[in-house]
Amino acid sequence: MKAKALMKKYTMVIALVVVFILFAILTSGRLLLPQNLSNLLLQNAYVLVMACGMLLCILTGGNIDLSIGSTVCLVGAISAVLLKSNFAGDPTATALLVILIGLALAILIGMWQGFLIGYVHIPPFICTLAGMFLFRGIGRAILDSKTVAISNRPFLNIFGSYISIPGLDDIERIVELKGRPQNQPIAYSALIIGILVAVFLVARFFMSRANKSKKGYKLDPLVPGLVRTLVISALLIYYTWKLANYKGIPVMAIWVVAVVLIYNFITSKTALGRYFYAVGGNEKATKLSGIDTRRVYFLAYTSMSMLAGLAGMLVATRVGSVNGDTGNAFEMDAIGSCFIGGASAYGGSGTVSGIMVGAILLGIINQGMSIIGLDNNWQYVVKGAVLLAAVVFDVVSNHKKGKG
Amino acid sequence: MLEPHSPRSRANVSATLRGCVALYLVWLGMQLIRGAGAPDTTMPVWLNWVFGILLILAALGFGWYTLRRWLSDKAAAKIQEEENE
Repeated sequence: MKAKALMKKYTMVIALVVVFILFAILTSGRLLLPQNLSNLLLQNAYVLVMACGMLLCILTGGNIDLSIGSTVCLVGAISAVLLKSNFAGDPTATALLVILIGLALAILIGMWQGFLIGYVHIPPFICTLAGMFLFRGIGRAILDSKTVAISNRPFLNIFGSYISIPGLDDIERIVELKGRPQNQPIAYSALIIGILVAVFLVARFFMSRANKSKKGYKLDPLVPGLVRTLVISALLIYYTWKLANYKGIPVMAIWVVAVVLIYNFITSKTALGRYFYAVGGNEKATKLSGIDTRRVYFLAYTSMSMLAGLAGMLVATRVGSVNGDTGNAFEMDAIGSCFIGGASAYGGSGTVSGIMVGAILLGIINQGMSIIGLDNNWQYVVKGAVLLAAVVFDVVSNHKKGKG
Repeated sequence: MLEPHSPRSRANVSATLRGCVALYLVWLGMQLIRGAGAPDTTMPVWLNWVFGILLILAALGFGWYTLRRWLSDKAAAKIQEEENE
């Protein structure tokens, strides 16, 4: 593959690498510390989760959900208040029931909006804009305009703990910290998981090629694909080694990976996933094909709210409390990820892997700016500059193709 | 059934994403203007206003571009669908 074509295809990945190296330099290497790399995932878990749901809404024809930040606030508020009340009498039972209630509430919100959009045909922008005000108002009323702390240990462990296998994750080694030798536990389970996944990726690459060759399909060149797989595997092992040096793999990562894999599977391997693309393409033709388009809209918004509810619990765990401003501008982060991840030379293709790149890019920028200690105003300028860069790239690349 | 990433689908998706980004830029611009003179910032007040207004102007320009692109992409998608029929 020629260098120019390669750069075009992997523009956003290259941008991600460049930004990562830039902030690693600007933070004097502090971005690469195990704790910061772990926090990179934890602080952006909610964006990754919500961006998956936003993708389905966007695929139905450019529709968005403006109420997800408010749904995060409402579900977080109810969860915090119920956890504080310990209504089940036992912290573990309370935690499990609160999770079920929170997700059920989020699904009901999504079903309500999905019904209004899919069956009553209210424009999604109007419906979700109303939801944005309504749910935040209810959330603030439930919190009584106060900040409610979460101290239920089982709830915090379900979302905020780390994988720890006795005998494997408590082996200490002597390292030099601040000029003095100290004992530091290494969570070897993280490294082992990283190695296993890397081996799986390489094996899957060769098995896929062998399968295609057996069926007589034309194969892509071996070297670029192998190099890509090996680079991803090496980065994965490096990242899990860093996580191993700081408490191991966070449970939050398991939730994020599960959501990403499920939604990637749905959008790329199932008929239901194709329905979302089909409705976005031509609703009338899709309807004539026998597909219930109202159900597709209904499912898109139900799933979006469910993921917003999950994100609400992740955020509540991460921060340790909920207040009336929780979830503010979350929809902007999710939408920004979708645009940056999809604003490649091929123009808004809308895939889960694309938005993951966008979300991680924004996450690295946010994390890097926090480590450097930039105040809010400078952070807004940097975010605006990044978006403008994506905008300029989008306009220029499409101009070269003779469009617009 | 339509193929995924059909021209009309791509036109709608692209227009929505671009429109949202334009709104986000407006929001960032307004946040900068509102944050002018805040006690915890190192940015001079005039620079807040300059960046804020620049972002809002960029958003307006991009919004206009988005509208024009969407209309032309839709027309192109319609022609392509008619040709395929």
